[in-house]
Amino acid sequence: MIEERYDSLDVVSPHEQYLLVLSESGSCFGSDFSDLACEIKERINGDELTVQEYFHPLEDVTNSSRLLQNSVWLIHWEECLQGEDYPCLDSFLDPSMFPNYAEAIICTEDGGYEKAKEIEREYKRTSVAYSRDTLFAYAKVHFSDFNPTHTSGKERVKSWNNEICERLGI
Amino acid sequence: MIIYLALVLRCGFNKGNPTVTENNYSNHIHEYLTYGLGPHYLLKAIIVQFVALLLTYQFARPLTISVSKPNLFIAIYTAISLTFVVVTLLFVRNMCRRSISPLMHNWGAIIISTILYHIVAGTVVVSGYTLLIVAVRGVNQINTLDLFLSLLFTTAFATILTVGYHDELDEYLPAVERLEDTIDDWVENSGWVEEEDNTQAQRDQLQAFEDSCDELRNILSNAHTQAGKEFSEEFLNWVSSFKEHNGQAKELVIKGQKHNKGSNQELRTEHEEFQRIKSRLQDLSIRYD
Repeated sequence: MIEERYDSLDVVSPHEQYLLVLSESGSCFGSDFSDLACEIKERINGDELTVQEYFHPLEDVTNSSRLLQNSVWLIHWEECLQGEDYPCLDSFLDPSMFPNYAEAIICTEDGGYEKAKEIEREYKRTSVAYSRDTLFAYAKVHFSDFNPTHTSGKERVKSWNNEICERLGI
Repeated sequence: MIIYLALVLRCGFNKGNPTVTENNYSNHIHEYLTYGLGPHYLLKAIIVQFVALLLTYQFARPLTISVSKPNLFIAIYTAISLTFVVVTLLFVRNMCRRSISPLMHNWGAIIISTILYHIVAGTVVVSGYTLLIVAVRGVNQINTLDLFLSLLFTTAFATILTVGYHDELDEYLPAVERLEDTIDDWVENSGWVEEEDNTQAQRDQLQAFEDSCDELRNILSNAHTQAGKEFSEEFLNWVSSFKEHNGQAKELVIKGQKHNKGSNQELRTEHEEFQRIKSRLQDLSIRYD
């Protein structure tokens, strides 16, 4: 649950944000997502933003209100999207539906760069990581912009937070 | 006897009580008499007793008693002694419950504490007999009736000591009802996670839970025993981490994570800590009535 809207930039920081992990195995690129999340967190600048990884159970993937509360989604391509076992994800990732300032990073372990470009053409509002380094790079860019250590970052956080509150009816 | 008690205390009482959580708290043996307050309170009560005992003997000479129906008096003394023991036990139970010590909130601790109070009282009585009878007239002057009278004195002094100490403790420790009611509120309000997601009712109950945390933190700050202080500090640290999170993490801390393969280690640790604290608080609010 998101507790409240942000009425001004002053109340934005410090901010705690979530890294949503959608994966059956809990691992990718030869590491647990927990370890990948730790490395992502180490790359975040400043101490105004705290990031917590959140492993959402795939059997409850239709719970859009819960998914929406995470600004970064890490989705395992082979386990969640390739077989189209969870069709609701396609609609959540639709550019018209996906929240502003949120980031969906699809992780694919097979196929490399070419496969990544192919997936990006299919899911236009997403970034596709085909290695640990590309994953860390995408996450770092997101958390550099979406970070209340600077004013534009505060505005992004506030705007994202209030948009989610609006969608959840808060 | 005292050495045996010390060993039992060091090993912990809770193994025989399935409702009490396993713990790693430390404890001092004197806390079963002082409940964490200074031993000078106890010494004060003992000195007053000793003076009272001397005066009693002074005005009750000759000290050995001779009655026509000794068995009747033995029965009367025993009955009165048992009454005193029960009264002592009740006051000790109240003090143990108010001590906020996870190690003292069980019947084992209550019984040991009661025994220790009787040992202290017995020491005073034996000293009095030694000084006033044995030293003057010899051991042969003490008959069976005297022994039962001594038992009566011992239990009576244990009761006086307990009641006196309970009175001293009254202003330092929270009332049992306040402690138990606050814990009950805290446990009940921790059910905010079961409310419908993202509703005002859920936010209101979360606020109530955080208010309960503050109230409980104030109560636990009154802990004087070693184990009570350790538990209070654990609770304080947990509350402070909990409040730093936002709603989703708070929910995961209370409810736990459901994913089969992955979990957030930090939140998992906080969830385990929450379960442990909740279990110990429930131990502290167990009513023996």
